[in-house]
Amino acid sequence: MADGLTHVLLGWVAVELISIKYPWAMKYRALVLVGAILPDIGNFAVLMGETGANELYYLFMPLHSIVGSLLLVGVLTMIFKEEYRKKVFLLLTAGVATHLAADYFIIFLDGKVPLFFPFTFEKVGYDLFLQAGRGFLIVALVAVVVTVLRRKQVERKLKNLDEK
Amino acid sequence: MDDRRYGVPREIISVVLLAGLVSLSVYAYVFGPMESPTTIEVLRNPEVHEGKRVEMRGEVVRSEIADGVLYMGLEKHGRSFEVYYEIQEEEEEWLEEIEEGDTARFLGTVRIASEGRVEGEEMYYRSARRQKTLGVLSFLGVVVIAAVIYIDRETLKEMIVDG
Repeated sequence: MADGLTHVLLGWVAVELISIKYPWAMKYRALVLVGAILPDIGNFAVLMGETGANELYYLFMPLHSIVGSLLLVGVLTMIFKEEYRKKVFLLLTAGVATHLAADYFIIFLDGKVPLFFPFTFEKVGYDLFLQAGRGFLIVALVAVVVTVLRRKQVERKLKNLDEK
Repeated sequence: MDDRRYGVPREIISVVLLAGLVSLSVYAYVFGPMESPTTIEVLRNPEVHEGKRVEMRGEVVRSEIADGVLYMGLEKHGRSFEVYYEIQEEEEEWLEEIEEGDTARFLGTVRIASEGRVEGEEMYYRSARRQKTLGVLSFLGVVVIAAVIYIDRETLKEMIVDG
């Protein structure tokens, strides 16, 4: 996994990009950010030490797959009122998508991402960034700055058009 | 507003989704391919595993790179073994960072079982230093999310089902 901060920053990038087309998304940005760390919620198992974490690994492993994370997103969506559920589901899913996409490029000690579980236990990924390395964090920070500037630019253009 | 989707109560949908999630976890727990054979099994009976591809993990007690080959002494539950791994060009930079106390995972073939030597095919390591960084950065990530949730609390409260 990439570190939590990188995941949150990439979630923020997703919020910025989505809000360029759908401005309402910014109001619900917390959902994308929560989605961006959702597949890692099993990480609290490390508090039980290496042995405990290894034993519980497979219980939480499905959360790092497309099917498992979508089921979790579905469960969380049910906490929200009917009229918001579609937005909640889409925003949480956007966050989860950034998480799984980011982890695809991490060099893991424990293998890679079981993206297509339960159809296969095979893990996939492309070794590009070290876990907790500076590289990915810097890329995420630059992406946040670029997308924030881009959104501001779009907002200014729209404001100017309105004034004209 | 009637809190139903196509006539199905919210509770039923929640239970079905939750059951699906739990089923996946149980399926993964029961049928997930465990580390086989385990590092300790290999170290206890090295001769049985000679020539076989194994996965081993251990704590780094010694690390040295010479002529493009990484030699490492690893230890697991008090038992030590040696691994050697031909470094790929692109890996050189990050494998040089290995320090004592790091955790290494090794996919390789047991060559000289009696001496507990393993020739690697794939090599990953988790730096103790990086693990601390990972913990700090992950904590910062949680802080950012908590702050955003706090700022947007009224909006979120309004969205959540009452009771």
